[in-house]
Amino acid sequence: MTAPAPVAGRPAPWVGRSRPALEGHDIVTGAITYVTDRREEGMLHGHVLRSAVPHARIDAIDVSEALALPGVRAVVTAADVPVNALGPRAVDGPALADAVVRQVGEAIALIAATDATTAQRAADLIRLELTPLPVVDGPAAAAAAAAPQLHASGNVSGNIAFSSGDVEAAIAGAALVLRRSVHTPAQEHVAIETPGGVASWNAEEESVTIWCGSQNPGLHQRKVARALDIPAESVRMIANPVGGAFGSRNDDPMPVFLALLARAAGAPVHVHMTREEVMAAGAKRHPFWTSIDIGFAADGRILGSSVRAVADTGPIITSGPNVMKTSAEMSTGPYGFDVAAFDGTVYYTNNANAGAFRGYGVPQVAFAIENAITEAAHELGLDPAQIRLRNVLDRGDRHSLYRHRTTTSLNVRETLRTAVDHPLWAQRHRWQAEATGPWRRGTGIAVAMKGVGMGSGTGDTARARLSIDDHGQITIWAGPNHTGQSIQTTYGQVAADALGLPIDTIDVRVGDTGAVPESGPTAASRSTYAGGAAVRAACDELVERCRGLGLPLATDAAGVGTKLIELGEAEVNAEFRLPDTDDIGIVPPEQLATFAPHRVYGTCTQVVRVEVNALTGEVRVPELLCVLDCGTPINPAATIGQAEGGILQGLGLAIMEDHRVSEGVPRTTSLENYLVPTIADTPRMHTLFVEGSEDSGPFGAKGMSEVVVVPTPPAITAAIRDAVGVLPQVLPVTPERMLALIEESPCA
Amino acid sequence: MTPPTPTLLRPEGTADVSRLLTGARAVAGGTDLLVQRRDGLEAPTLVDLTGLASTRPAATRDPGTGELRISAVHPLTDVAAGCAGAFPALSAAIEAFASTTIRNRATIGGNLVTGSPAADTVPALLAADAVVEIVTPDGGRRTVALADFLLGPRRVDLTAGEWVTSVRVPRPSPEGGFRKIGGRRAQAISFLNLAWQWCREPDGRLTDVRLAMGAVAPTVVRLHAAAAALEGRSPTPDVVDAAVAAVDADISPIDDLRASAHYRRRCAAGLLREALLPPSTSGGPDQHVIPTTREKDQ
Amino acid sequence: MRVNGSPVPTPAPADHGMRLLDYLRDHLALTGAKEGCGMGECGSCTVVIDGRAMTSCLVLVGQVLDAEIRTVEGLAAAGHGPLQEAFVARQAIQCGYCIPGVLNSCAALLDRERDPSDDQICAALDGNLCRCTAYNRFYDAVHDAASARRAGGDA
Repeated sequence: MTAPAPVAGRPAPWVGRSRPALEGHDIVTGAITYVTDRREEGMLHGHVLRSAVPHARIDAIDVSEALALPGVRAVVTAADVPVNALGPRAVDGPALADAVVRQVGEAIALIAATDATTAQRAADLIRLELTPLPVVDGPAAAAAAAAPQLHASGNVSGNIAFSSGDVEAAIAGAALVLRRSVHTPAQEHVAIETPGGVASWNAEEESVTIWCGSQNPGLHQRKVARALDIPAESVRMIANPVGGAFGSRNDDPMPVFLALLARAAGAPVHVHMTREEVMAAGAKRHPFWTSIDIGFAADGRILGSSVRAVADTGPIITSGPNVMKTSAEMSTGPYGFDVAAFDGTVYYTNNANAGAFRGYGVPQVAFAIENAITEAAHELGLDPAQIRLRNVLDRGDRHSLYRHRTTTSLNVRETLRTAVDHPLWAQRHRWQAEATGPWRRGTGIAVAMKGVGMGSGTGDTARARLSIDDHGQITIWAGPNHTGQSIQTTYGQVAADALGLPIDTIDVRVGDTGAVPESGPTAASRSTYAGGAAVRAACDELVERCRGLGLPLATDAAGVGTKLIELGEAEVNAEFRLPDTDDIGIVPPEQLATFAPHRVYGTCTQVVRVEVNALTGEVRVPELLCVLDCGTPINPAATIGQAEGGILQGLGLAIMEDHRVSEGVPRTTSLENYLVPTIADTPRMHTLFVEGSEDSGPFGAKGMSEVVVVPTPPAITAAIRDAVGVLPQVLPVTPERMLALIEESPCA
Repeated sequence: MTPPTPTLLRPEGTADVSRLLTGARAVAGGTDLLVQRRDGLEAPTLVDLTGLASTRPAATRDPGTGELRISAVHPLTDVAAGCAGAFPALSAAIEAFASTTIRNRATIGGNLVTGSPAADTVPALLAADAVVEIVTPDGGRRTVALADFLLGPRRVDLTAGEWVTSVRVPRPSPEGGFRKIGGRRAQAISFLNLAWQWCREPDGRLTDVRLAMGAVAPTVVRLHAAAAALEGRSPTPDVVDAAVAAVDADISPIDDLRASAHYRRRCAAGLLREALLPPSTSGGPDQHVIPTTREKDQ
Repeated sequence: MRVNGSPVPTPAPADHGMRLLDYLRDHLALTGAKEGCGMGECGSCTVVIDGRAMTSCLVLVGQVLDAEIRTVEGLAAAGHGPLQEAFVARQAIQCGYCIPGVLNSCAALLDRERDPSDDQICAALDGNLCRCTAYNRFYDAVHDAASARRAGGDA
């Protein structure tokens, strides 16, 4: 790992040193106030009336009885929303259902009352007249000729297709051609703090302040402004502290609900969704049906690959086509070969809405290609690590689908080599031989790559503002926001080293649209990379300014601050525009943003040990190795924490998590029947960093917190293949699916 | 949804419970009842039984007959401690039950009266011919064999105003165990579960074989045919095969959210086969086997 | 009822059916205990009642009128400062929302085991979901805290 060497006369570097989260003390003492802990004077309690049916026409909504209930202060329905839309397009969906409901859990009305029980009782008093409509229960139903159309634009939410040549011709003479289909389920984020918060309406100014978690406070600010038909400057989003996100606070309409209620009630309103509401209404990871045709030479080289994917985004668009765009780019995995094709379609249905979720379309397609490579290794008699080493991209190589130039910090080969040398892989045969009883042992390996930021042609930009006061104290307002990763702790480390000042003289603020410049989302593995680079740019600008004025910032920050204030130069604004690829390959220039190929990628190899019970089908994962290519880990222990968290979400996707819906009705309705990993399901994990530095990132850092989710499921299925000779193609590998595969296998 | 706040009544003592139970429901650990209220179960008035725990032990053993009497109102953590070594199948079941936070709260009484076919403490109790002690509305007592107490899914032989005070286990065997299959390795409702107990004779034969399985029938059931196939025999491969083949006769699983009937049948066979493996090869902590502890003072 | 070592006003009989979680948060303003599911599955609302970790969403106030209750706000005074410090130092925290419950489960364990094994730590925390998943760091933090307590004599 690359920690900068100490420089004489400067403080020891903070970059590369593990630094506990700044808010840690407040967390362990219970002093921290999460957005849903917030209480305001005269605060009312809100409740959301939600649809119990997946698809129906709304003939009438009668709120008169609810309004008459003592204690009820406001009831809001679609008719009361100035601009009843969650975005500029009809497919963004309404804030509150108006003509139809299209999903179980869709919000129909909002109630504010003096206490939560009264608000809930009022919801029960709202009379709904609904006419059931036929349910579009999946992509197949959505594509059917006679399908009810969920939007005026039809049931196709998006399609993305690209080809770099004739795949069938390329694989015609292949030693091995695999044509496989895989399925990955809808996955729920299960951020432990369910959505909610407080909004407070200022009647004089016609402005609203909202305390509610958000991965994109600026976007939520604009959504609220649109719905309330007020200027964006009249909306202040304060988006932390919040209990986890993982993508769920990208598409969440809660800030809009809070603002609508606060204005209607003329008082602060608190809402905190129940877990059952989130299970039904919260956006999920898109379920995918992915097919791959892939050909290999006898030595394991990939000759060509064609991937087709179908995704279910539920009733509104949220992130659907953008997710599929990322799937398209990563459908070739971290591999270099000559001919590739992708064709992906996203459908509207009456199932659970799907949106952003860590990994953003990559785990789904990576499962298809990694499983195929695992199978090819067995078929061709090759070592599963060697076949990958034979195909992986090297620094600056051209991408297989778009032929664009990748970053020179691409170190996927080093992650594989490091993994192969680790005892977990090197000693896999011995470990396997020590299995006892019905528990069969196997070891699997998988590799992944994911772009950092929004991609070329999107104008993706992060910003930072810095000021110095007459005590030499630095304040930095930066985004992306903190949603659990304590990004402000990392920004502080970047700033301390860039300024050469003690870290405790630097105060970093994030997540408040009233103070932080627009910096885009906490998403796409961009926070440390882009936000950190913007912080660095602001710091460099201050250092440069001081140098130009001959001011000794490092030795007399207070004096320098005083002087800069006098000169009107004490504030710095800076931005970091994420660099596009310097060679866009065969992507038509006018369609660069449509495909948005990346320049910078994080990569990761994982090795997983698995035990499979041949009598019951249970799968357990005792130990796992993660080798990361993330450039400089600025706060290594925090980076490892991100890796472990991502891995465990990948493990959940692989063996237990499955948000199930039938005929539009969710069957997994709570944490009793939607299971996520507990501490008892958690493997021992080892995370290693490979040497590397991303030139465009702050102190050589690049993003990593999504790519870590990606290899876990295919590494687990590869380990299962090693243990019992069958390769699962459908996730999660529940005991039931596992036992069926064992019993169906010819060697059973 | 969050249900409205119920009225909670606190009895002065055991004798006071029956008086308060008119038109009310008993609650102890609340780990199932309060969850069911979220799903819409109407229970506006509750009578708290947890206060009774301080008036008696979690478990007592009759030194003469060996009978174990387990309090229905103590948390499982106390029950496990009170039965230590005396009833390994139940101890193993409690170890595999939900989570520590729930074991510190949930009671045997609650696990019985909820009538869940997947309840984790029930197979061990059923296998051991447990008897349920019930306090009737007039303050009297009646007993009913657990096998008769379990009527169907969410149905037990308990009428309004009655409550379960304890469970008697006439002859818990010192060799036994419990194993469950769930969606994850802690805090999971069983897809199916198995409790067993037997005596292993010096020549290796198994006698007094008792098997019970959960979530494979409308109630937890005994595997009589499989037990008969094992009774008096050494678990040789042929005997094990015969016993495993006999599991099907006593179960009638259904498809539900957690597992299919087909899986339950296949896995039921697998679970019994696994339980009959020599302990040294059972292969890991998922098998909650408490080793044979023939205590010298018995 | 005593909370964090001090007596608190006796809840009115009409409030006996209230969840302990709501009583702590809304009546005593102790918002350290969090609600994540309301059904005992996530463990964010875990508090220590008479020495044992329990989910306060499944405890009714009337059931614990005579109990000694400890929340995250009372950990330091109960000698668990080292545990809190270890969680910070080990970076066993991400979003932190589950942490009050996790700490309470750990503290109940440390109060009965001076030197808990990994298996005991795992069992003690099997009802506390952490989705950012610092689970592995929890082991390190508990071992550190146990060492610190042994070194310092049981506080």
